[in-house]
Amino acid sequence: MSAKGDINVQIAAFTAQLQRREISGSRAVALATAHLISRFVSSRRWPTADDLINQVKRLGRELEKAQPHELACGNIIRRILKSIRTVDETVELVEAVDDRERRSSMFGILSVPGSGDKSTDHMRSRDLKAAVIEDIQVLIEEIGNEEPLQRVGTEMINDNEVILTPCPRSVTLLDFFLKVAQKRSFTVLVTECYPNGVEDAKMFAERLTKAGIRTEILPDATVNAVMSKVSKVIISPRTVLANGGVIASSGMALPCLAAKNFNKPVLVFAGSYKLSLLYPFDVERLIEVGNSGKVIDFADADLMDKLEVTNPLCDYLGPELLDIIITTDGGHPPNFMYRIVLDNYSTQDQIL
Amino acid sequence: MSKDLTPAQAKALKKQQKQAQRAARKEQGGNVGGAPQASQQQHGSRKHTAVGNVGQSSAPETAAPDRPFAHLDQHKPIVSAADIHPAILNLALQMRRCNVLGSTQRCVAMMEAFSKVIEDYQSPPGTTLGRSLAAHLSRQIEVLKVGRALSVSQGNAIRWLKQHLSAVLDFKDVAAKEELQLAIKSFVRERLEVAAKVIVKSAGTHIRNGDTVLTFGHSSVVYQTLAAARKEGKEFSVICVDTPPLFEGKRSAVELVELEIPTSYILISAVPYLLDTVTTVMVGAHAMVSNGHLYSRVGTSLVAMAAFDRNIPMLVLCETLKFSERIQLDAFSVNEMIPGEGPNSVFYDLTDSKYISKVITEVGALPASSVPVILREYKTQQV
Repeated sequence: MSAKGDINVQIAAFTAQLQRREISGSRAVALATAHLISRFVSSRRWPTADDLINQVKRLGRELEKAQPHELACGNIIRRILKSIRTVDETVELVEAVDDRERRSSMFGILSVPGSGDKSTDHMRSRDLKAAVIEDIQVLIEEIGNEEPLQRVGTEMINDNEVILTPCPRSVTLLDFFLKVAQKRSFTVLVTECYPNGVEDAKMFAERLTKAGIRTEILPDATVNAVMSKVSKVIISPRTVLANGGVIASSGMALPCLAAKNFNKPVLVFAGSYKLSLLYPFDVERLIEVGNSGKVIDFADADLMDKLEVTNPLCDYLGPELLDIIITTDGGHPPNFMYRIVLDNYSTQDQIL
Repeated sequence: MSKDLTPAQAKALKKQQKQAQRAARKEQGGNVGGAPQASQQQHGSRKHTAVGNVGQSSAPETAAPDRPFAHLDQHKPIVSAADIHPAILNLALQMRRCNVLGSTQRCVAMMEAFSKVIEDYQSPPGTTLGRSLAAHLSRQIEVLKVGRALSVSQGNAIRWLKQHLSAVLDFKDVAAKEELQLAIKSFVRERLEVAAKVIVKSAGTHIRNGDTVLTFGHSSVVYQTLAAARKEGKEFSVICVDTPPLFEGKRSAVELVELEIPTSYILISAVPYLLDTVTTVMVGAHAMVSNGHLYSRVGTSLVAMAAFDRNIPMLVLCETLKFSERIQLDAFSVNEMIPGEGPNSVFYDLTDSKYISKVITEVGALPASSVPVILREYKTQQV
C-alpha cells in the first residue's frame, strides 16, 4: 500500500516540522493540518465512522505532543472530528428515512430484498469519506479566506483614526490594514515588541508605509504615554480560549491593559481556526518561554550566569481586557465565546 | 483677465466676493459701538486672509500628526563660548550622550561643576563676585540646557543657588567663593545624600523576608534601599525590569548581583508574566509634579498600572528636591526626545497618582496627592 506508506511519511515530516518550529503561525499550521488530515482520511482504511474518529484522534494526540503550544493544530483536528460526527449522524438519518420510504412505498416490492450488509457498510464508508473530505475542503477555504473578517472589521474603522497594534507578526492584521486602506485613511502605531518582534515590526511598518498608510514604530515602553491619542487597539492573538480570553504573543498584555485604563476599545481579530476548547485554568502551561539570549546577549556570560533571565513568548489576556472578538462569522463579545466554541467543536473531543 | 474666466469660474469668484462682503458686514453688526468703521473693515479683511492662511498652514501640520511627539524640540549642537567653563561643557556633552543619567546623578554633577566654575571665576574689574556671578552662571546654565533640558532637581538646585547668591553680595571675592562652595556641598549633602539615607530607612521597612521586589530602570535610592535591606540580613529577591534604548535596568541588575541578591532580569513586555510573584514595586522618580502624578522614565506608568491591576503596592522613592510646582496632565506637554534614537523615543511618561500607593520622602511618607502640601511647606520656610 504505497498510499498508506506515503501518508505515514507525510505525518512524520509534518511532526518534525512542528517540533523544529519550521512551520509556525496559526494560519500556516491550521492549513497544513487540514491538508494533512484530508489526505489521511482519503488514504486510510476505516470501516466505520467510529474507527475514523479514533484514528484521527490518535493522529491529533501525536501532533499535539509534537508542539503543545501550537493550539491551531488541535483546533483543526477537533473541527474535523466534529464534522465527522455530524456527517455520520446525517448519513444515518438519511438511511433511516430511506429505509422507511422503501418499506412504505411501492418501490419496496420491486427492489431486491437484503442487498448484503457489507456492501451498504462499504457504501456508507464511501459516502462518509466523500462528505468528510468535502467538509475539510470547505474548512481549508475558510481558513484561507479572511474576507468576512475584514468586512466586519472595516465597518469598525473610521477615517483619521489612530490605531495601535502590538502584534507586528500577524499576517491577518497586515492583510486587514491593507484592505481597509483602500477605503479609509488612518494612522497605525506598531509597537516594537522588543526583543522578539523588532525585525517583524520593521517589516510590518515598511509594508504598510508602502501601501500609503501612515505608520510609526513605537517603543514598547511608550505605549502609556501615547494612549490618549490612540483611538483603537487591534490585536490578533495566537489562540482564543473558551472563556473569551486569548493567548497572544508577548508584548500585547500591557498595551491592552493601557487601553482598558484609557477606555479605548480593544478589537481582536481571530480566524475561527484560532478558537480553542481550552479554559485558562493553568495559564502558566499555555505560555511558551523562549531564548533568554535575546534579553541579555550570551556574550555577557558572566552576568547571564548570575541572573535569572526570562523571555516569555506569550501573554495571557483575560476577557475583561478585550471588547470584541471578530471571527470569520462576525463580531462577538468575549464573554459569549464559549457559545461560539461549542458551535464549532464537540465536547467529547476536549481530550483527544 | 476676466475674459479668461469660464462662466463657472466667474460664478465662483462672485460668490467668494459676496461671502467676503457678508463676513465683513457680519463683523460690523456684531461689534456694536466698537472701534471706527475703517478698522472694522480692516479686521474683516484680515480675517479673510487668515482663513486663506489656515488652508496653507494646515498642510505642513498634517504632514506629521502621526508622529505623537513631533512637537518636541530636537536637540541642537552644543556650542561653546570663551567664558564657558570646561567642566560645564564636559557635563553638557556627558548628559547629551546619556553618560550622566538620572536626575540625582545629573544634579550632583551639575553642582560639582558649578563649584568648579565658582572656584575659577574672576570678577571683572570694578565689580564684585557677588554682583557679577549670577550673569556668568546663567550663561553656563544656557549651555547645560542645550546639552539636555534641565531636570526638575537641577532646576530646583539652580533656583536655590541663585537665591543664595544674595547672601554673599557684600562678601569679598575670596570669602564669597569659600562660602558658596561650602553651601553647595552642604546643599547636596542635605537635600540628596542625607535625604536618601532617611528614605532608605523608611522604605526598608517595606521589605520583609521572602519578598520579591520589582524595580524599573535604575534609581540610586532604590539601589541603596535594597543594599541596606540586604546588609540587615533580609532574604528577598529582586526583579529588574528594563527597556531599550537606555537599558538602565541592566545597571541595576549588575549592581544587585554584586551584592549577591537573587536577581531576575526581564524586559518590560514580560512584566505581566512575572507580576504574580511580586510583593512590592519600588521605583525612583525624575519628578513628582504638583498634581500628584509621577513624571519618570518612560515605561514606569506601564509597570505601575500593571501592579495596580493586581493590587501590588507601588512605592515611589523621591527626595523633595525632585518635587515640582508644575502641573502636568499628559506626557505630551512636557517631554524630551532621547538623543540619537528614533522619532518616537522619549525619556519620560506620566504615572497617574491613583497607581501610586505612597511616596516616600525625607520628610515622611505621604500619598501622592499630598505633593503640593510639601511644596507649600518649603515655600513658607524660605520666605
